[in-house]
Amino acid sequence: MAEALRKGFNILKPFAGRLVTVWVAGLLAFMILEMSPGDVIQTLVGDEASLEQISNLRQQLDLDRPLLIRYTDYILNFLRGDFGTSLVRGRPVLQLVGERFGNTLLLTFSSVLLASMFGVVFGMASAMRYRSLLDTSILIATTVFLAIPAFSSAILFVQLFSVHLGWLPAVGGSSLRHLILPTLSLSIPLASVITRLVRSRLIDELGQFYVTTAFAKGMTARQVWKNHILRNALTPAVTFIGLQIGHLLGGAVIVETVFAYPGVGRLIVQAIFDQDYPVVLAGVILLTLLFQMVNGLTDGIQRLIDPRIREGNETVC
Amino acid sequence: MLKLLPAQLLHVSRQFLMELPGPLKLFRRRKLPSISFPLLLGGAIVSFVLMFVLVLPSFVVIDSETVRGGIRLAPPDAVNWFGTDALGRDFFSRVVEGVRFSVWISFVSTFFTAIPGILLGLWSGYYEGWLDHLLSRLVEIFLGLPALLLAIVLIARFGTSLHVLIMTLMISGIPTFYRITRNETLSMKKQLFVEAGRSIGLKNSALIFRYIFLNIYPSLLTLFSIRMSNIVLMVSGLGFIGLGVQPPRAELGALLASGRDYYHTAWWLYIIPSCFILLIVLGFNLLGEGLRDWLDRFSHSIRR
Repeated sequence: MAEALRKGFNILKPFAGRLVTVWVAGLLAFMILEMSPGDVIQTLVGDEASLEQISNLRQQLDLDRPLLIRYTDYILNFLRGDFGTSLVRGRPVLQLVGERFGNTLLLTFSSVLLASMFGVVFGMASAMRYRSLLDTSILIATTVFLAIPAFSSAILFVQLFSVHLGWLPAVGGSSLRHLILPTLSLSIPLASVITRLVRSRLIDELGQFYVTTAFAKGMTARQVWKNHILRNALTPAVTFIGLQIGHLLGGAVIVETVFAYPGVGRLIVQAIFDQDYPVVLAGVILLTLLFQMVNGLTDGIQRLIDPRIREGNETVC
Repeated sequence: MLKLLPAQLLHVSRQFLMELPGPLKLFRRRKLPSISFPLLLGGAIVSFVLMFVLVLPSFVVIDSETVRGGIRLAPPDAVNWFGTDALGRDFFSRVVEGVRFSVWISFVSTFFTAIPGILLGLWSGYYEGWLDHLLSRLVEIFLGLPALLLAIVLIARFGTSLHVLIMTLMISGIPTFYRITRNETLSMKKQLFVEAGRSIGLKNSALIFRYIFLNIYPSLLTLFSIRMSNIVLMVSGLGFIGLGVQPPRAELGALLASGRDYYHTAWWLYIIPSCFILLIVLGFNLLGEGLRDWLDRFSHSIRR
């Protein structure tokens, strides 16, 4: 029982600091966006509004009160699950973002899953045949794939799979079929990064003495790989993949826009064009929250699989 | 602290002083290590791109503004090397300006990111103390905010101007430079030769710049190169979704976005900007990685 509690605590521990990060990020975003909200009113009422109209709207939107009070209110409402109302669409922000949050979550996780799968398989293949033709070609391919911008490959995919072959829908996001192309263009660079990481980790690990010892005492290659090499080499990869999700969420903003995929990223971009700050703020906070939670999760997983970290001898990597 | 007898200390410090990577000694010993293929290719690509934006414009007329209705969407020919765009503007000129802008903004913003990042990192890694703690926490928070989201918040508030873009790129880049410099400094200052330098009475500034900085600059140079390629990707991504620099200025991402509509009638509007983004990013990535390996072997050849 105590053991289980300790395990649970170890998994939860990383989350506390991450919540602080999310809070500071939210504070920062709030301050930047709400510092002088005069432009918002100007946009909403147009150029020919009277002063009276402007002050009415200012009062209506609560913008006449000091920043600190508005921030306190925002936090209190936030904790109650009220993110304010969209200035342009007139709907609660939570509803707007909530509709799309699941889509972004789905896109992110499917991309990470696909990229990790390919990354680990190709990385292993590359390391097992170190300096062979296969290794070289994988290395070259990943170098090139890393340099292809996601939006460029996105256009190519749309042309190939939607326009020429007609297999998959080009834009939208109502079904799982809509998920395939955005996932593909998001996961190509990620898979390349993971492949290279896994490869270099495995090559480092293969040169260690304990691997030679393991072979020398008669273990089969399969056993050595499974029990020794993979376990040691892939632990840092887990953290790394978690950190990459930050880039992925950024990339998701662009890819969602290209594919008109109904995710949070596209909502944020649209909201910027509309100067709809409450939506931008809520979107950014939720995406940061998602990023931090995923990182916390990967930390927790790492604690589970790596006894060295579990015992608290954490090394900075 | 190390515990050495005075005689031992003298020996050790003399030994390490002989092998200092001081600026004058850099090029004196042994022959340079051979240049690897990635470094060669990366250098070649980067010099090609630089030549494209710096040298070529002095031989070819660059006119990206003139609108000619008669030759809209003309394919590449002898006059318009990359064809014309939807308004009849010479696409070659626009690509040159786009590449020039990409290289320029990535260099400028990385340069002004690297300087404060490296100085802060050296300072805080060397002296540690409460400010170091504070900065590290702050940097951790900034690294927890996806860079593109930070960019988007700033752009949402201050609009899409060049200043905002550069400021954004700097803010999102300083934490990375700071963190890597700090970590390298922390591990470097525990080395014996720094101890030796201190024991012969060198000032802190000399220790930081001549002993520590000159030993960690390979990884910083690599970071610089990789960061430049990241910025090219980020700026063109922002330009693609319409949050980058605005239309009159030619920018690769924006060119690509407008070329998307003519994929079937004018392939060059899509293919050429894509290829140039790919080339620039590939070049800087290869250069960064190649430099890291080369400088690694370079410093080893000095030390032994």
